[in-house]
Amino acid sequence: MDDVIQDFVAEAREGIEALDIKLVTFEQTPDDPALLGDIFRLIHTIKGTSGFLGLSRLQTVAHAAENVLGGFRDNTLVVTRDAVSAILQAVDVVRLVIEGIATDGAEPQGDDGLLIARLDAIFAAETSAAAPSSPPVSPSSRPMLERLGGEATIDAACECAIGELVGDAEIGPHFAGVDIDGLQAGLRDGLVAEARNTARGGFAATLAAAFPRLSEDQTCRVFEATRTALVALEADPAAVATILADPAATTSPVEDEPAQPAAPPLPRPVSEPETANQTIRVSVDVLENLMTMVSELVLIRNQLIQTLRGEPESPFAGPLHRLNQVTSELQEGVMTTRMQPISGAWAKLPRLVRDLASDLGKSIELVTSGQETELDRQVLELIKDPLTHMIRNAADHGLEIPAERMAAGKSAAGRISLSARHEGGAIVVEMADDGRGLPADRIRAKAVSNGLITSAQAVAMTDADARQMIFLPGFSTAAQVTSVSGRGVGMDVVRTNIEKIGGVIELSSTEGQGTRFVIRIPLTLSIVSTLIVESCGERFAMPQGSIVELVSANGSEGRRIEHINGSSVLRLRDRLLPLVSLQTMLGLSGPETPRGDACIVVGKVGSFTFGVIVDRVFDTEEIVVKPVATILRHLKLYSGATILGDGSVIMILDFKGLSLEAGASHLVGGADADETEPAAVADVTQQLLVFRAASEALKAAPLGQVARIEELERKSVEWVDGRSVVQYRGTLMPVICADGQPVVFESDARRPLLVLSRGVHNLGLLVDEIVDIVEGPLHPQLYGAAMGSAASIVVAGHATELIDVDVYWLKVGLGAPNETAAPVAAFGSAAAPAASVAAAPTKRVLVVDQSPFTQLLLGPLLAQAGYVVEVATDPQRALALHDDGAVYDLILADTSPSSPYARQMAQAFGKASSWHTTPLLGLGAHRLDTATGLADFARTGECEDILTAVSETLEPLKRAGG
Amino acid sequence: MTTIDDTQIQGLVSIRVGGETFGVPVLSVQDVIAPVRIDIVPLAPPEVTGSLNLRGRIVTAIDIRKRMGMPAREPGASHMSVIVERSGELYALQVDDVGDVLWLAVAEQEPTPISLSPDWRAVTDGLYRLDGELMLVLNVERFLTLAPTQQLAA
Repeated sequence: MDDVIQDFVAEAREGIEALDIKLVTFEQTPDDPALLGDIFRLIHTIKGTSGFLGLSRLQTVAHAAENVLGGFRDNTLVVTRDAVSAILQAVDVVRLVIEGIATDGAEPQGDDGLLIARLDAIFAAETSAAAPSSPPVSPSSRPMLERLGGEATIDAACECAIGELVGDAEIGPHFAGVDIDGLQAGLRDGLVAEARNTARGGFAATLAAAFPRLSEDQTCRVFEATRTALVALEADPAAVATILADPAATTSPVEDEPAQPAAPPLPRPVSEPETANQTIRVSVDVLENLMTMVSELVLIRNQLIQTLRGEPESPFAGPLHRLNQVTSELQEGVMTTRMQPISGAWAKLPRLVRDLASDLGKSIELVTSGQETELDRQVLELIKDPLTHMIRNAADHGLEIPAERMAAGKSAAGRISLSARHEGGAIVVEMADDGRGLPADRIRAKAVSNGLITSAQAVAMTDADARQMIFLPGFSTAAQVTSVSGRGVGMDVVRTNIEKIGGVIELSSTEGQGTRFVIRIPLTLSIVSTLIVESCGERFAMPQGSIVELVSANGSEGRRIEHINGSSVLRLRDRLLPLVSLQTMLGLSGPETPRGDACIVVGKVGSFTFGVIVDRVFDTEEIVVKPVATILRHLKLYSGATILGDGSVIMILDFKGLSLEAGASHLVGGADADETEPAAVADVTQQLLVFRAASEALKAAPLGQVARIEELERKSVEWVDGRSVVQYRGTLMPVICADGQPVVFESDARRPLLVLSRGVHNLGLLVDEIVDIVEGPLHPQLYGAAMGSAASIVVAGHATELIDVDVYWLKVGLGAPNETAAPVAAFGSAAAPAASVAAAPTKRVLVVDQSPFTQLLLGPLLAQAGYVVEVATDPQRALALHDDGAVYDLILADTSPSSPYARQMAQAFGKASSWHTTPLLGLGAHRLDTATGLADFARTGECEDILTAVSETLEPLKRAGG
Repeated sequence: MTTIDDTQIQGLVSIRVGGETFGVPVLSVQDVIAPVRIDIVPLAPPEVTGSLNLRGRIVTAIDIRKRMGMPAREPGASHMSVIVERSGELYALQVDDVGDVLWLAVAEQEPTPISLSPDWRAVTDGLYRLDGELMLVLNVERFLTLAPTQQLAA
């Protein structure tokens, strides 16, 4: 019994899968009798079998649906959207019950009363609607059909008759090779049509088609048997006799009236069984097993070939060649058994689109092509969900409502097209809609409001780049959450799922014209093209799909691995590539290989590109992927294992895992250069140039202050008035040592020279050695005491003096005495009295400005000059700061009347009572325009102007306070 | 799992590891093989020696001594591998020696003594008193489930 139910479940599942598509197609082409016949038969089979197996819930629902379908077929019921919806709902219940049976072995509980009532109501409408609409048919046919006991009785009678005749010694043999179900349906349909007076002779014609060699006498016996069965089933004997008169008597009417409507059903029962018998059901396990065996065979073959490679004269050479060929063919053959047409993944889509269209009040047309394209069933399963999700998105966000479309000059019905094709060992699936496209501006705005990017980045971003952001986690452009989509878990999951199977997804969109996604996925997951690499004598496989290129870092063309604070990078063309070492990451120990000639495999995961340092690169190889043992599954660096031709087992590295590992522990600031947020970084860290000078201790200078790094020879140093200078770019540049003294060369060796630049002036700072460039804190933490030292910071675990370049400018007499003196004094350089260092707190400056200029430039600039800077992007925030009790020494704000915030600004400052004594400097459109009338723009750059004005404003304050 | 009728007998493959005798249920044993080449798996837990190729299937090798917290085998000492299956995957238990298959009545199996260390009691179902020695019945499923802490320690 169990087996029977299992078979039934398997068969019903397949049938239901097909039903969805067929019903939707049927709704569009209600006049296709073949299609309707198919649907009817499917439902009928389910009803029949479930009745036989005692699955009553299934039977009732299927029966009610069958009634309505019967109405469609007999043209007594008009195909309406509502009716099709009801049937689809019935199919859903059937599916639910089937799945319930599959899991629990019994029908799940549930009340289908409403659904059945709905179906019955539709069916009942048939009787009432059909009566007036088709007067010639109903009066005579209905009584006849009723007298015969209805369709179900006729069907049962046909079944009984066939059952009896199969056992008959004379007629039985004719049944060999005949599709009994088809025959039964044909006979029943013929009788019913005759009873309804819609067609004549269907019964006899079906019989003749099924049994061409049946004698007249035998045909009569079939009639007789059916008659007996009908009468036994309590049909009116008179009606039975009329409808099933012996063929001899009915031949003439049949010939007179060619049975046109009866003709279409004929080819079906005959042709379909042939194709149906071409396939058999094989369990997936058997195929998997077969695949494993073939993989093994491939390995043995590879081993044999390797063994015999050295002996070309071997007598085994010929047979081995044959074995080689046969194995390849076998492998291919087994692979194809796992292949399924992509339509399997699409089967549910027409139904989905239909439901979406009615839910959303849109009209949507789904066009598919290339559904016969085959791919591995495993891949198929994995792309189902992403595809469904994308269709949902297209229907919900992509396509406009009909009115909107008409207004835009498009057809009212939106179109979603889906196509699949093979392209060079991969499957390309394209999904396009002709909707409104992806609005780049709305995506930008959304990304900014979600905090994914800053407004400055949004402005700098191209439309194409902006659209790519829909793949970021937590992103949704839907203005409102609908039941369909817009919950913010979307395209990132799609991308993740597709990348998980080694695929890529690309997107292009034209606003107002639509969106197109192109997905490229591998044909199969079980065989992957990989690159075999070696590290410390261990071999690993790296999937080719994620590899961008191979780079040899042997020092030629300037390519060598460089180190920044213990992490490795490679200068590759115009970018800095973060590197990870396979050896370090896998904790391998082996002979220390010189890093100089290492190979670097450049991989890409999403938009993150990084390099993996390996010792050697072998060939590419097509490998059979085997899953990682459960016991090792927590190791995210491996995506699988495989057996190589020489029989050794190697692990397949997972680029995603590598990148995670790389980002987490091996890459300091390893985020892709493109993705780093400049504004965010600028707020907390700055680039520092670490060097040694004067003493062993490390020193650091803000990289922004260093214009160039040159090398200086002793002989180029000249002396002017006790000062050391060099000729630099046509002018004399003062050169000093880190201790502020004129340069002293102990030897003839060239020494690095930091060229500091300010306006048109240059200053050379002679150092002993350039050490590194690192990320360091922006705000100095501790005042130093040594000459030129602004603070001590910790860089890579070493205490490092952050130098104050202003001191050097002052030293060479180039620092403008007034403006630079103030911050320097506040900094507590050696010249400042120790008491004032402790007493005078750093000046606090508030900048109120909404422009990126402030955030990107002015804030860091002021911070660098030694002020504590707070940036408020609008007057409200500034007011909030005030209400929190913040006190500032100076406020910089855009107070120009042209500012969009001018009014708010004035109001905010009116309310900020405790700030009324704080000096206010007005910031005009990127220019300084002081409210107090101080205006000095004679100097070289804007930065200096601002700094000057700030320090000048603060100077009297300092004096007053100090 | 353990709904075994009292009247039944069970087959146990006896294995010897560092002076102890364990019984592995014969139904879970697929094969017994001589030492073969084992490829290491970097970052794997210490109990996992590596993977090996058994006629085209990848087998994960487990060192019973490490798993049971016993001293490591002396280099060069002979050993064998018992191949067991757990949910479709093959594992090779590396043991010192493999003995006979013993058919023993389930009723005679005794509970593991309470004095045994919790680690050992966790991976054994019971024990048999054989002539001159005790044999612990290994629970393959639990034996192959490495505690998360052990994995972290790796």
